[in-house]
Amino acid sequence: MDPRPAAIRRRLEGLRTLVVASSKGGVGKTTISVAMAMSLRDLGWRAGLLDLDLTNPSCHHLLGSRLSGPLEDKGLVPPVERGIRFLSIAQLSGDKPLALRGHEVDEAVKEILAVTRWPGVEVLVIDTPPGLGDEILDVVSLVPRGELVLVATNSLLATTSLRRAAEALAGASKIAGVVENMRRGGSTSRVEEEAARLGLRYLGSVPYVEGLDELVERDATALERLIAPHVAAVLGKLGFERRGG
Amino acid sequence: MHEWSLAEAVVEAVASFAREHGSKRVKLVRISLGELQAVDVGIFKEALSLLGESVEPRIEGFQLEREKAVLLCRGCYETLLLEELSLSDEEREAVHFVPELLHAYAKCPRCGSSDLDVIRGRGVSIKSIEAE
Repeated sequence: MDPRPAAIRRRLEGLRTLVVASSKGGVGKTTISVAMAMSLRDLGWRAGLLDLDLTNPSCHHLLGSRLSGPLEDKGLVPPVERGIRFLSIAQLSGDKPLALRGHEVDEAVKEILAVTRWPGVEVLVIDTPPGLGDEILDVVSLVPRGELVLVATNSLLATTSLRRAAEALAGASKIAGVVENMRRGGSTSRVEEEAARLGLRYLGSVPYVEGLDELVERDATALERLIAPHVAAVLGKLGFERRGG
Repeated sequence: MHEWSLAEAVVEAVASFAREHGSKRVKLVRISLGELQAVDVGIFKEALSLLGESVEPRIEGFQLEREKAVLLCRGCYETLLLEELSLSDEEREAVHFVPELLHAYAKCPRCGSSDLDVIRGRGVSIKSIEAE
């Protein structure tokens, strides 16, 4: 008998969990995930961020993380970086390459969710790798009351993937809605149309920013300035209003 | 004390299972400890005893069995033991937290592949629960 599922339910009870997902790569899930955590922090919520892309973690680059290791205190306690409690497999692997087979991904995801404590965190954002593999299936089945935020861009490939993800994950988890990333002005939105067809809530869009990767590389605050404000509007639709000061 | 979180997981799972099955007493829980996770048995036992007292139904006893790690290299299809891999203390520590991190640090001494499948002895699992 595997003791971890019961432990995971207990670890995450009382947290709101936003699971950022897409069955297609390249739509900007990590950008949205990191910007969401930053935006939640800026709105006065105590945010956590978990990078569940085990074989290609990249949240730490966008967060400007120093990859400090987690503390060991009755489990693993992720360090706080830029006001966000952040955990990535890269902190434990020293960002070394990690190639895993499916059953190993499943084991590692369960282990991480079971032994990680998130003291003080109210909202946990989970960034998942592209596809409908073990990471997303584990999160959907193990995380209590996880809310899926599906990300898509305005292209046929991305909206087809959106439909696949929505149909595959419907019923298994609550789909909070759809975020359109890299929206360019003036064009009609296939994403909005597809969300309506699927009966999903369109949570809003984040504009296309030319050379965003380079901007973030040069200036650690670029994501906060250029993306996080748009993500704040999305979070507002999910009930995260500004709090305090 | 990462052992504490593993003990919490075991106790939580056993207590939930016992409640679901209407058990009033849990007499003995047998647990297998895979070598790869390198659990500190002393700390783990102490945590189990303390936590086992605090759940409903109470867990009266634990029996721990160590399980040696056996790996299969998918490069050359030879089986390997953990002592055949050269891991530093720091690397062992990472593997202790998440055994799959072995793939970041270890290579088959025969063919150099890091595609090593853990056949036995990964981590903590509950083998049996004696309850009434």
